[in-house]
Amino acid sequence: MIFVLLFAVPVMAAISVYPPRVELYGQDAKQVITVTDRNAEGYERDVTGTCNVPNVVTAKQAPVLRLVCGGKALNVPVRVRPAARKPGISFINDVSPIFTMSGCAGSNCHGSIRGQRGFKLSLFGNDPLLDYEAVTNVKAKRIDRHEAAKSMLLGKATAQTPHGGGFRFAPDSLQYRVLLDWIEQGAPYDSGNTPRIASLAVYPEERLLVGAGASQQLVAIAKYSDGTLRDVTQLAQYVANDPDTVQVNAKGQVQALQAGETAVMVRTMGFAVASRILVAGSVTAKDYPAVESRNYVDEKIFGKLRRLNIKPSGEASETEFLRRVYLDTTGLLPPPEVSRTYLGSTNPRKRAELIEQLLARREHAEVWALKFSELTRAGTREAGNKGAKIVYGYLRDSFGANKPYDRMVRELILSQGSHSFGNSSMGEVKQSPTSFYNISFDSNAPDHATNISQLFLGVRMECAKCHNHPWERWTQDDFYGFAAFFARVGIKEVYENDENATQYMEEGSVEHPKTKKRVSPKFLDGAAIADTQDGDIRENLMDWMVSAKNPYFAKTIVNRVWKHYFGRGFVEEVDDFRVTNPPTHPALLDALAADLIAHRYDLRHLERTILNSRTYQLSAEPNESNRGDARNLSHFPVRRLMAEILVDTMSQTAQVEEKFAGYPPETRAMQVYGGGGSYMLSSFGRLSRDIICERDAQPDMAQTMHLISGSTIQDKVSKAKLPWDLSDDALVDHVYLAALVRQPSEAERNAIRTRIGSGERKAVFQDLLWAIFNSKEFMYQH
Amino acid sequence: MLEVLPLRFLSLWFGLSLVIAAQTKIPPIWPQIQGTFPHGGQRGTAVTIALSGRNLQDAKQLVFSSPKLKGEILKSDPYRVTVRIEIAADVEPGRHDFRLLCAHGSAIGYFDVNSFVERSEKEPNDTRAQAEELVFPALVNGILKAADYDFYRIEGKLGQMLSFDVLATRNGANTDAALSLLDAKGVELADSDDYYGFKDPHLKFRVPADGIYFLRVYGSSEAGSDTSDYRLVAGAMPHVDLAMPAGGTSGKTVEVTLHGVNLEGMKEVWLGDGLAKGEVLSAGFEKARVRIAIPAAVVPGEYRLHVAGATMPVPFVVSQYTEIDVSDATARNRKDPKPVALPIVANGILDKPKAADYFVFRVEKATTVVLDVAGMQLGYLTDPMVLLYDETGKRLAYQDDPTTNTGKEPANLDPHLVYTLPKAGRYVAAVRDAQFRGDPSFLYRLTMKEAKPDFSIQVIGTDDTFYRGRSNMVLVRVRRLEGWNAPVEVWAENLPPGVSVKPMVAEVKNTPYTGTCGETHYLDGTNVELSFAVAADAPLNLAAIRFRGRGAMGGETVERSGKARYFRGRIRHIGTAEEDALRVTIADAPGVVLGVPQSVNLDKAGVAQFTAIVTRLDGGKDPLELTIEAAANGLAVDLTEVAAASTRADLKLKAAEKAPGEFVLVGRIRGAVIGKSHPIRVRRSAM
Repeated sequence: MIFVLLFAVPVMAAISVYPPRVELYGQDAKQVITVTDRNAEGYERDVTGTCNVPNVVTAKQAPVLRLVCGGKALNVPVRVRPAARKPGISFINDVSPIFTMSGCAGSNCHGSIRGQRGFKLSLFGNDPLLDYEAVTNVKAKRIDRHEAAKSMLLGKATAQTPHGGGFRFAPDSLQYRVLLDWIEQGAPYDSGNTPRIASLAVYPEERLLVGAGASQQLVAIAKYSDGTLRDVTQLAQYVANDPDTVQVNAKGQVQALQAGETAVMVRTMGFAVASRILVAGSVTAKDYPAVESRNYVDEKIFGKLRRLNIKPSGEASETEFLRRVYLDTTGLLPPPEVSRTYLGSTNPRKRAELIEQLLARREHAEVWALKFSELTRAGTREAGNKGAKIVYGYLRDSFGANKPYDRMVRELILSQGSHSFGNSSMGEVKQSPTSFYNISFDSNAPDHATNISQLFLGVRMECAKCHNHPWERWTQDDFYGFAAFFARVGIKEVYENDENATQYMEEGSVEHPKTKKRVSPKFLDGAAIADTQDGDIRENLMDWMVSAKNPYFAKTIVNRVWKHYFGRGFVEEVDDFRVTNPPTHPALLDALAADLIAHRYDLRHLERTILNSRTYQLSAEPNESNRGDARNLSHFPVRRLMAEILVDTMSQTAQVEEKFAGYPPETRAMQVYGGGGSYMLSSFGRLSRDIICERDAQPDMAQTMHLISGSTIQDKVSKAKLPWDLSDDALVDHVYLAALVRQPSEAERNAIRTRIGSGERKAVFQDLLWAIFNSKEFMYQH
Repeated sequence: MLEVLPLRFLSLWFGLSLVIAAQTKIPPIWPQIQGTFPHGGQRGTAVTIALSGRNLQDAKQLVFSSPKLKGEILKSDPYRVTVRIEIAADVEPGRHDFRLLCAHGSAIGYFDVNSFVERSEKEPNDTRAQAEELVFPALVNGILKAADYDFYRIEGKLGQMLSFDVLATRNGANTDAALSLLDAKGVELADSDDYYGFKDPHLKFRVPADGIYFLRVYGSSEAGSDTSDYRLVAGAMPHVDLAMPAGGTSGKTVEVTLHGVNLEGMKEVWLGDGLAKGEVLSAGFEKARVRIAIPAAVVPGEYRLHVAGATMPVPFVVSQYTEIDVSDATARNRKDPKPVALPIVANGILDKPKAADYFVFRVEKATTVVLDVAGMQLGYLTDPMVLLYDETGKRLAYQDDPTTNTGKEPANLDPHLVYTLPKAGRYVAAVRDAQFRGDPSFLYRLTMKEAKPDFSIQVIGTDDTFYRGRSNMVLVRVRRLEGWNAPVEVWAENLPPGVSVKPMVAEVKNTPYTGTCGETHYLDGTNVELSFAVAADAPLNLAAIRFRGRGAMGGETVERSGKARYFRGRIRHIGTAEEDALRVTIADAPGVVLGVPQSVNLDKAGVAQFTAIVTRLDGGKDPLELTIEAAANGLAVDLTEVAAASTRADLKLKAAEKAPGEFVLVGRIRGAVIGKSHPIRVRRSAM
């Protein structure tokens, strides 16, 4: 049976059908077909409803499905593989998916960890055997094999008997019929050779819908362990990540509600995929401006903006760019004399040259060292500040030397040794990050697997520690196979001074919690390998991680670097890559990752590519077209400065250094390698490093109060060492240039002159500093 | 081995049991040394040092283990003792133990002897602008208070190799010091926090250009206190990291390569306290070759090897076996291990990450062998692991740490692998760092020999003070070596008059202990507690008690002497004492111990209320009268009587005058003084 809906018949430029060929296996096999029209501007739309009633005709070699859409005919080859007899209903492939698509196997229903009212299903159908045992449990009497229609299961689902979960499907629905037939057949479980779902795909993976009301039919196709394909569109559950952008019904039909971007999750039989749906308000305007692309970053970014008919803002001014790039790369403001020189220069390459200079600065390495110190939770647990200092120093030196990222991660993951001494276990590395494995609270292999996969592969696997992952393909076997790479990583006390050390032990293994068997190390999506007595299996893991074919490693660091410069990753959260959380710009993410690999994981090359793009150098000032855009980089995204940058730039502007407890004088906030630091730093998002997570950039009242009257700002203002010898106007210029990297406006200058005339000069400038420090212009990156 | 005990031991034990049953635990009334400043002195000079701590009043004597150091008490109060120390010109450089004897016991302290002219830091030196000039060679004694930074100014010359050493925790100081070297603008060029196993820092710095540099000495994470002292040794003088081989055979001549910096000018080398002089064969910048003839009379053991004018000595072991040096990487190839004949000691350096040395040896029949490694125990940061393979490369056994290290008990962390090889053949022994690290300072000594069951005896965590009329416990650990599996009887000798002790037997069962989280660990040995009964009329003196152990196995009786190893409080990492004997002071405990605050605050009415914790050591049959001895006029407390069974007294102090003062609380029984508190300061409340 082939479902096609009919509508009016417009003229079409180029149409295509999905699937391009239909394979039907056995009686009652079905296939949903969608027809897509692509117009001259490249816009695609679902025109299935405009096609005529299809006829299956017999061609010379094979039958074809003949469609006529918008006056154009299409032939879709059809292959029917008849079964010897009508197959029985499969619990695994027919019944179990019903629980997911009907919402019964969700985490808020019977799929929750304790189930509901004694009925516990596996989460999203990842364990059909468990589901079968729950459904056929004799004591629970959920099914009646003698009078199938009177089964409690059917009565509850159809709300014919009281059901806390309410109505799930009607007695005349497909679901009802499948369940009834299965019970009537004796409610059997599948034989051992029943093909199992091996993968799930959705069409289209990405679609741009233009205008509210535009729609798209999704088609879900499962591939089975015996190689067969099956249309599971009507067995899948559909959920839009952002229900304000699109709505999706149980048949997989998506309808645009408003401009935006979202993923629609498609889930069945323990598998999940996503279709990325973009909704544009209108097609690209004819007067859409030509925007210069400086590199492939711009091509991808501006290409998407064009499709969405969002016009990018203009280029950032020199002062805007100077301040932005200084803060992002070094965490500092440009000194006034540097600003004057730069702004006065007519060198057409001055932006690119400045970028080069800044990327080579020690302060640049310190920014990344601090970020990774936080990610690796340096100094937590027994490592203390001594361990944190070694890890930070290692990271600073590594970033400073532009050590290839793959090598750095290799050194982190292979690290071992005493935490306060850092003597290296790696050639040429004098001090190694020996306390890296403190990243895991319990220092056991599953903890390491969870954290390392999240940190370097952007994969959150902790769900699979207890059960197969609900939104991803990770199973418990995958999780413990990955954990087995860390089976021999241990912590011990070394030396007689309570010193801790990470050590790759001579022995160690991981046991599967269900099978109680020893698990062999296994790559994600890959094969198991054997541990050897004299080798370090983590080296095999590293080879796999950093290989060019690894689908996670390069993208994860690209995503982190992108987030650093734009405040948002392609994928958010940055360490949550999954098919159901697709990136905003997948092609660009792929291109940047490929470029990084091609340049041997040269992070500075990646940063250079980003910083030299026009995208990075766009003005933060939105235009009418892009004011509502927060995802597509149509203008530079404004964001609050990092806590450390706030403190350091205040110190820099006022020339009053901040003293951090436990650190020598002249230490900047960016150099505070351990957790904590000061009240202001933690108020503005510095992490305690208790867990691996990203900083919270949300403003709160504590920040406001601290900026108004906190000790940090008061200290800077009251003790400010400004060049008091300057004339009033020159001093005003100096303060503005030092703090905001611009000259004051006439209005600002006049206001200050007036205040000086009526008050004490020093107090006026202190007030000026206070006002600047409290201004959004100072506190935000723009 | 109880059946062999003499009868006199049994009778003493009976008497002692009665004493133990009756006695009350004594609060810490014995002297406690928390700070020593300066913590050492130059050979051939006299120096005045201050010991700070608690219960230091009535200090009587300061006694060194070395006869070449003499102390004279100049003055003392409860918190401070001033001592003049005469340092003989020929005393062995390095750390020396002393005992401070006070009225209620003694305390152990450490004194470092060096060869350089010494001076003390001068505060304020907290910034680069205030930095003190360092003239090389320099030895500066300093104190690091909390958040204190001591800056020193250096005029560096291009190419100069400077070394900086801080001696602090190694001397028992309560100082976790760190070093940074800064350029003239304050940019950190080099730093060191924990370098030695004891957490003291060390820096070598090649001066990149003529100019001004700054050395910053500070407490790690700004830790510090009034008693956190350090000794900074700085300059372009010779600094020896290690000697290779790090040992020689008794009665044989050995050629040793010294590894370090600034060695080109070195002339004089000697072993231990004048045991042997070395002949300098060649001396380059980083290496020097010396020849040492080790007299046959030198008892096998660990000694110090000295270079005149160098920062500090390095360890050197005298053994009874053939010693080889494999630091030239001749044993580095697993496929081509170095052939050796047992017994032998291989000296090597795990200089690079993943470095391992391999040795092949042959046994003619099934043989039990021991592979014993020394690394950490010599003070190096090597964490050795030893592995044993058969001829096919199959791993037969390995050992990392013989026991779990928890920091709660002194642990033997260098491997001591005993293994019975099943048949005649070739076997390969390997040694590497447990964490695959490598460093030019990662020295090891691997002793490979046929096992000859033996044991060692260590006196651990001992109390230095024995109180008259009471029983006093000493902990002795028996460690079974090379396959020893028989009980060991432990006893004490050289007991002073009036002191007796019952021998104890260490059974073949490792002693369990509880870790920080309540988990059970086992020592790699057996602890026995020797309870010393001290008669009420035993003479008050300082005794040197020796410990012995005896056991029989395989028809052979083995007898060994014990060594004292300090493991108490913050000085626990010091390791083996200078003397084998345990120095014990016989002292009197007072009739009552009065626990009082260090100070009290007077309210507006001139009254202060405070509590005294009363511990009666006199049997406590009669009520205790509490009065004060006032050092300042106008202080008084109402006479307070404390019931015999009471353990606290609430007191009200009245002050007639506004001036701050000081008083001592006195406990009397029927008018006779049986105990006094430490002095209590009186302060006026700010209110």
